[in-house]
Amino acid sequence: MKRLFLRSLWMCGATLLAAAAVVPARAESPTQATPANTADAIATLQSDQPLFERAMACRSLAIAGDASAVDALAAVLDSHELAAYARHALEEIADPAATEALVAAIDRVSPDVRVGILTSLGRRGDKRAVPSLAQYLDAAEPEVVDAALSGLAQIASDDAITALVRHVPSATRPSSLAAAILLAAERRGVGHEDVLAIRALRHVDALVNDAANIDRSGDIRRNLHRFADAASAQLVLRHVDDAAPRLAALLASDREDAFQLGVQAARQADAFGVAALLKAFPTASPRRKIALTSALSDSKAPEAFAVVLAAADSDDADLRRFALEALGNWPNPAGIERLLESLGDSDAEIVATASAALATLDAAAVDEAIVARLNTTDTSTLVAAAGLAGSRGITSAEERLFALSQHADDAVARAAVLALGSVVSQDRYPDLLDLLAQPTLDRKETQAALTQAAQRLSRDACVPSLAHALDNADTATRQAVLEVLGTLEGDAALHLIAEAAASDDEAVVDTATRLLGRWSSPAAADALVDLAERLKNETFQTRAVRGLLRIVRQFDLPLERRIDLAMAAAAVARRPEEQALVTEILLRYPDPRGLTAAMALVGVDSPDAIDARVLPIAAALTSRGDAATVVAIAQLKDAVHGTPLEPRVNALLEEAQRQVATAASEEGFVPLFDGSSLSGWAGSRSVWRAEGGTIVGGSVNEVVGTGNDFLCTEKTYGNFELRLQFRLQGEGANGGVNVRSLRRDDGVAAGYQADLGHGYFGGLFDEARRNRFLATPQLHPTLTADWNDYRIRCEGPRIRIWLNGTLTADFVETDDVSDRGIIALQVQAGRKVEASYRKIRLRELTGAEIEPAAAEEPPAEEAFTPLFDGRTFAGWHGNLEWFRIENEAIIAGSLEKPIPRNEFLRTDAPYGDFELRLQFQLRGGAAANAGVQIRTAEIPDHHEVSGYQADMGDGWWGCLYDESRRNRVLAGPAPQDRGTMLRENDWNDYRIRCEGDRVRLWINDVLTVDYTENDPAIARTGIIAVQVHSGPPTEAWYRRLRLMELK
Amino acid sequence: MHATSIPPNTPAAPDKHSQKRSSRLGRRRFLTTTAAASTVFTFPTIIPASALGRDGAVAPSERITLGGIGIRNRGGYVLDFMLRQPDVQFVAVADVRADRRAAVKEMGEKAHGSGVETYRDFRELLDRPDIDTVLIATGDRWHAPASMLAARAGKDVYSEKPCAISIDLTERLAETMRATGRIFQAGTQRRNVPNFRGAAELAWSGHLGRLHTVHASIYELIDRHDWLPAQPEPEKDIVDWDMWLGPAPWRPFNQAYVDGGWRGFHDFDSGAKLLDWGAHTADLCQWALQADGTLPVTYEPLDVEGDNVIECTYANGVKLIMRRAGWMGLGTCPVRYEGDEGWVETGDSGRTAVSDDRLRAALPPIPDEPGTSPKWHVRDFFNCVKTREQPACNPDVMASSHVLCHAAAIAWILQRKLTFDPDTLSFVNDDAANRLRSRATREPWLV
Repeated sequence: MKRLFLRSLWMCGATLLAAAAVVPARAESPTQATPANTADAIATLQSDQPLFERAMACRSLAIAGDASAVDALAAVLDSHELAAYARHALEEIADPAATEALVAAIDRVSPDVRVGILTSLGRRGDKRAVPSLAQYLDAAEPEVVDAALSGLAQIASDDAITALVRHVPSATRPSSLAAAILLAAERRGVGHEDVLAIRALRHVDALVNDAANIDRSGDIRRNLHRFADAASAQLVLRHVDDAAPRLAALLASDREDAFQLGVQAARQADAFGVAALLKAFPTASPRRKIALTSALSDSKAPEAFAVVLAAADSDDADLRRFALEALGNWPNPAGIERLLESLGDSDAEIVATASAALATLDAAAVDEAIVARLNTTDTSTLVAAAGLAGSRGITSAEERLFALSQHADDAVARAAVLALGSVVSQDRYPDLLDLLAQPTLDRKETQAALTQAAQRLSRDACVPSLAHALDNADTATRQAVLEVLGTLEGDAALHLIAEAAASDDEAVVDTATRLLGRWSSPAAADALVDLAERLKNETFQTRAVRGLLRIVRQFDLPLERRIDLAMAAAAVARRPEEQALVTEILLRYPDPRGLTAAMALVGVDSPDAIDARVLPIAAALTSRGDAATVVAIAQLKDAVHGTPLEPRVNALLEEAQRQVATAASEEGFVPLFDGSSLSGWAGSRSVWRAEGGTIVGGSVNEVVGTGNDFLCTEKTYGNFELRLQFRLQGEGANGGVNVRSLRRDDGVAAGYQADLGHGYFGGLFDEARRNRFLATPQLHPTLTADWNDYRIRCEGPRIRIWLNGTLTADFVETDDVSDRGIIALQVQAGRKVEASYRKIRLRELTGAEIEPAAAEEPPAEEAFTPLFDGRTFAGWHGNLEWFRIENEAIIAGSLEKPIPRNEFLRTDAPYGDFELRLQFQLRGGAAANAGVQIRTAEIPDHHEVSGYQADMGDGWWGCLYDESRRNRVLAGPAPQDRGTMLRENDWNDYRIRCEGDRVRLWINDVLTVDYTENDPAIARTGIIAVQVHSGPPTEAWYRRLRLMELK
Repeated sequence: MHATSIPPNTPAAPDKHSQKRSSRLGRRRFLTTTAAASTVFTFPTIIPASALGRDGAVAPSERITLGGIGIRNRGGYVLDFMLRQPDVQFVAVADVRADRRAAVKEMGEKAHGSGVETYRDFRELLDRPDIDTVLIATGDRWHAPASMLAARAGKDVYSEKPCAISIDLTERLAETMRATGRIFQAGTQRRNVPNFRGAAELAWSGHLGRLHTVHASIYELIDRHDWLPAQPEPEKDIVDWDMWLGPAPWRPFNQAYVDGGWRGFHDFDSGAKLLDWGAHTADLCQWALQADGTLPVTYEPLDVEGDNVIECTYANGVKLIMRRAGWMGLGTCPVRYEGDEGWVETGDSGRTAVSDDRLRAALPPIPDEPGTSPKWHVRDFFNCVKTREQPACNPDVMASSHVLCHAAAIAWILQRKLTFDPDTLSFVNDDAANRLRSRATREPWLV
């Protein structure tokens, strides 16, 4: 077995392939650890493997470890590198043994590490640690005291808080103790009735008043005061008896922190809070008055209003501003009057503040007052009033604002135009458009007003006016109108902009192409294709191509449409940058046409580029089984003729042809549905009906059924291929096709289900049985909203599913479940949804097609040749320190001493297709582990090897593990079945057979693995090696190694 | 698929009173927040220099003093906005890198024309009693420990997101902020960016009908556990690697981490990188739903056509969908709110798309500002430093949306549907998920 985790390095590009790379990497991560890995992780941690492996072993144990891991973790607590990893695992292991191990370690480690352990005890929150933590409150090192305090604060139990209070008289770290009490009280939660917390918070006063602490250094005194003030504020919030005097003291304190805490507490302290704030106000500094004003105005207490109003006249500009803002949140006639007065203030910033406050004041009187001010002569008042008419959307001001747009003062005219954006009516929109040509106005502002008005008014009604304005206007006006159209979206606006982009005014083209390039729907695609073909100017042409690529990459499009557009983009992309983006898209959405287009873009001269950007498309297509794919790959093969890529393309072509051949053969299929009745099927007739050659489950018009309804065949089937078409309709529709299932009394079909539904398509779910996915798709074929194809093949223990020609599930059963049963169609009714099925046809497989493993006669012994001569290591190599020969057996490892690292005795020669037989015994404890490598590669200058391993050891017996490669069990018996076939204290037989993609393992003639390799990158040949795994003293005995090569 | 996994298709109105509020996310609700206090479209006014003080400027002694910790790209951008506040004086920077100390010192001194002190160890900066506020813009691993230490040292804190790299730390950060009573603003500035505010107000206004689904964009999810090859450690004064690692568990030095290449690594990033965008977008969705203080109760990772999608469902049936693909091209960090009567989608471009003209008319006029801009957010923070109100992204708001994102990320990491109990902040019947709520932490940074 296993170096636990490969150091996986992978790119994080934007392509689908790169995204897919995340999945295996995640699967290897220690966060996937399970209790089954625990023994492994412990062994790794105890070995002399590199730090990384041991750190990751700790991490696995943090996720899945139990009491059995505690000793191994405690042993590395004083490792500089591993301590944090190990402590974390000990924090997460719930068993009290972890607390005990941490407590036991405190004294034997350095003070640095002790800090960590004490804090970890706190994090565990285990009350049993309180006495141990309390013991260290008197430690010599301040850091250790702080850690013990922090640990107690974390636990925050009654005991912990009592320990903190008891420590008050003798505290050596008073400010840390105060902080700990504060945090512990908070951690216990607010409760007026939390007597213990309140008592503890009161004790902080004693710390401050302790004569010993008064003499301390400035830093300590300052911190201590701060925590004491915070504790006092907490007491106020807990409504203690002396809350009012405490609050008054905080607000009167000369410590800024104390004052701030006081204001925050007063904000939550109802009536006595307001009283305290008012009392503090007269003598407060201007800066403090800001906070007091803000808190008073938020209280909306009537008695506070006069103070806020007076603050609006303060000499201090900052306070004045905050007070005016506060008046904006307080609808009071005197306050409104004060704000309106400020509109005429000579200070522009006061005007701005008052305007912002008035803009949102909820009072009808404000509107009237503002309309009245639109008739004054003072220009600054006019500007402010116009702005307010806009921000408050006072429509009755429309006429007056149009008049002001002609005002001699530019600022007034511009403010009026901006305001019109918020108040203009549909009828007067053309009049606002006319203002674009008025030279005294800022065109950008007029444009902004037009945009805002068009957003508010009917788009359809505004577009004709804007179209009209485009005619016969100067360039700048046309640009402004286009910008407005650009914000409107919709086909009419799009059409006008596309027209402008084809004009001969370069500035207009510039604006129009920019707008199209960021259009917010795919509707701009055709216009962009057209422009990319026609535009001569390179900048604008590139812009059109980029805009097109943005749509193809980012928007939801039907597949056909996306490929059409990608092809169009391929035709117009002139620069290598855009061409690279096109091939990236074609890879993301594989299609035969896209393959041909990608080849044309990349060109035949750059094998590296073909390898990186074209071959992956072909590889993604092979499983589709359609003729177009074969044609496209054949063209690719011609293009790479004579290059090193040819054999790989050839392999892809053969695979594609094979898929076509399989998919095409309809011979022997018989329909399971007669096209008009449900005879031969069982299920609720209120849910299921036959309709026009289709079986329909559920209804999009009404709710029928139970929510999980099945239509089951009366017959049962074992080995077969099933083909059908399905269609789902309605929001969140979900269905499925059960095979080899049992119809339960309640009508539910229990067994394998080829799933259907958003997020589930193509997966193999074990319905109403193990209730989990047995296989989920690695590839995600595109679905149409209409009919899609399902193909399900059950063959011995193997079940495969193809969705629209793509293999989405390939599962080999290892549990003892039925390999025969009914077929059932499912709909998740109970909602307005339909699942429809048609062209349901099935071909039972004949014996010759199936190759059931059990029926196969094992080859005779005469056909085998010895691989080990029983006396010497001839034909083998490895680190012979760890291998010896006794009684014609290879003995790997030693029972005298621990095995520091994995050791492998390797054959000199490689083997591809073969059957290997051998006998073995494994000696050592429960953690003993070993295995036989096949089709394996040596890692230069390294003790590890990489490849398949027929595994040996408790929890691993009979598994096919991928050693130092994918680092996981590829296939194996169910965990509870591993090792049940072993003969104890005796020789056992391993039989290992590799044939093409297929690898099978037997222990004592019980088949444990039948695995088919789907990844073409995995080697089909390699050396054979026998292993002893690192860990406690272990001996793995191997003998009678013999092999038959298969042709 | 088995029947029980499909939730009933009966979305209820996102009424905040019907949501189950978590007692651990804000045991004591902050009473007012500047952003939620008003449902009308307004933004905090920028204090203009000319309006302040008799001589047109805030006297240096009256200014809010600011220190910066770990200022690089994003931090520099935020600091730039802070330097423009006339009532703020930037006085010190701490960084583990010599070149960053020098660059930020220069940036500050250029803006103020006066001295900026530099520190390698940020604790020395925190020890200065004359510093009122800190901007924390280190890598994710440092945000929560530095924020907590700053609060204990009496500073008000503006921390870049993600503010805490685990559920456990999120909870403890919020606790510390509540206990010490410091002002805390999470750097999720989009609650103070006009177009996002506009979309939320549209949702609150009822124009969309009952909200049934909200969508939050996330970027690629990555959870790397590998170590980059060891390189010789530089001199402490050039790069203090031990301090750079800080609370993260030990690993060998490699310059790539220090140069910003730490994203995606489990020990340094937050929630498999989900919080990079999710801390913003899920937070915006919570805001639109008026669900601060509540959390979805189930988290289900779906593999939809190769894209990672996480479907989060609130107790009342409302769905929050996290996804990467299928957005309308309105810029980074898009969100979408869907109700029975229409939808709105918006993103960092500042543009907003709606389902029909009726909604378009209901949208308030929106000042043009990109979603990345902290212009109003930093002002909100400094205003609250003065008024002692709670800012838009206070600890309660931060804690809800961060825990939400972490829960979703854990569901993705484990690739299974998880049920979460907002009262106890724990997953129901899933030991591995619960153990992923915390992180390994190195001595002595166990705040």
